[in-house]
Amino acid sequence: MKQLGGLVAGVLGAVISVGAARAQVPDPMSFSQITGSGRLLATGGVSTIEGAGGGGIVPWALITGYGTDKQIGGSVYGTGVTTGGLSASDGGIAIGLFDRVEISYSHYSLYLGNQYAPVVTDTLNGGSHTLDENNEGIKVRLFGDAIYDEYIPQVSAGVIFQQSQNKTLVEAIGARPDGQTYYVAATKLLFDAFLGRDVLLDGDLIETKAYQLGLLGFGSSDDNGYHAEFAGSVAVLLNRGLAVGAEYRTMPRENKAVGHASNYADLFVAYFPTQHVSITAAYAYLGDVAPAVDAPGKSTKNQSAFYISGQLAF
Amino acid sequence: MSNMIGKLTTSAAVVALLLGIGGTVAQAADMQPFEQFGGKPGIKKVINDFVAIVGADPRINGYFNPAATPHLVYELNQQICALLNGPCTYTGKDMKTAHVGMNITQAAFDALDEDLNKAMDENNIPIGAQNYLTGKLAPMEQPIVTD
Repeated sequence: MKQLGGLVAGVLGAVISVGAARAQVPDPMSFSQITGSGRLLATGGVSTIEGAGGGGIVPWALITGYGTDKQIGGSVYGTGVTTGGLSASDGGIAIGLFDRVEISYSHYSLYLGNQYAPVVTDTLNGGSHTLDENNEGIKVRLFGDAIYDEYIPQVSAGVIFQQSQNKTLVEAIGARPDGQTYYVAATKLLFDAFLGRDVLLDGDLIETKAYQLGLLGFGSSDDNGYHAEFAGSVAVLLNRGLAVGAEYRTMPRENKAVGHASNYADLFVAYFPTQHVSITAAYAYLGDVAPAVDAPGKSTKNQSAFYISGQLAF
Repeated sequence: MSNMIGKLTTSAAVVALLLGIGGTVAQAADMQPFEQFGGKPGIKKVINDFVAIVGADPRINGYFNPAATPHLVYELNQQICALLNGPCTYTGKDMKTAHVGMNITQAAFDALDEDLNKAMDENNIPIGAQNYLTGKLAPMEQPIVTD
């Protein structure tokens, strides 16, 4: 239901946004100049579940929205996820300042249903069977240009401040509820690179203690150190408004309390009918999530998910 | 894991099918970008349409002097023909010199790019040739955008 709500809100917002765009009269001195959309279609990317601009699970070096170096851009998004018996919703907002700095906020919520043993659900807030997390992010573009520099990719560095809202559960498995994820992302668009199509490549180095992106807390009962992780995306632009791609993200996986987890991967299709609206559908492979706390007859192994995400941007 | 690889393989096949849409991809790939534009007459048509679109675009038409349009059209034909590896030589100014003092913003450069895309779309230029040309023009953003 939460997902439906997010989608409905997304569609309503889309209609409002398109109407607003039509009503704008070009005027060099107006507010619309600074809250502009001077960049090219799809160059804002979409929104990651942690709120930063990027693909679905990998932050990119691109600054969200369509603002140029003289403009402020931004984006709002909602995502619904279903995965064998679990469901999740995610929403967030991000502002891009002068194509240089991005500030983001997201909240995600994973509804566990009755998948997990009482030891887990009993420790959740008010027995709500929901894992919740807030993410505040900042990203700064350091150098390069994903589109206009012939050789040097756009390189950005960011940090995401994350807070699990399930302190009791997280502490029960020996983790901490708050943590930071640091990353450096390099992104480059290659023109006419594959069957005549433009291809976007991204690679990230990540330092984090987060288990399942922080839903299972930061650190574990026997390891409170940072782990160096990797993430990458490749996207082929079939035409200017349609991209298909794949992503991969490694993460801390050895956790005595919850068992051996998997890395994430996804395949996505993103459609940008205009600069102001995009819709992304993806198939995500989450693998083994928390096998050591599976309830009898229920498994969190080999999980996959479909998700659909709507974004409004300017 | 093998399950995942199976799914990824299936999905890769779907992506390959999507890429095949249009059917002309394979043939078009054999032709050089200059031929895909339809040689000099094709380039001329795209540029005439492009200049008309720019002239009607309130975001950027203020940058252009109508009296200089015939010269601009000539230079653009030579330049784009040369960029597409056609039998032409561009003898005009370099991009930095040609745009000095014009205070061109990135938004204006991107608007121009959108107008060129529109002109290429209207003339049914294959996407590979469009992307080839855009790739040649993109590095010109740095010398041209000075504001």
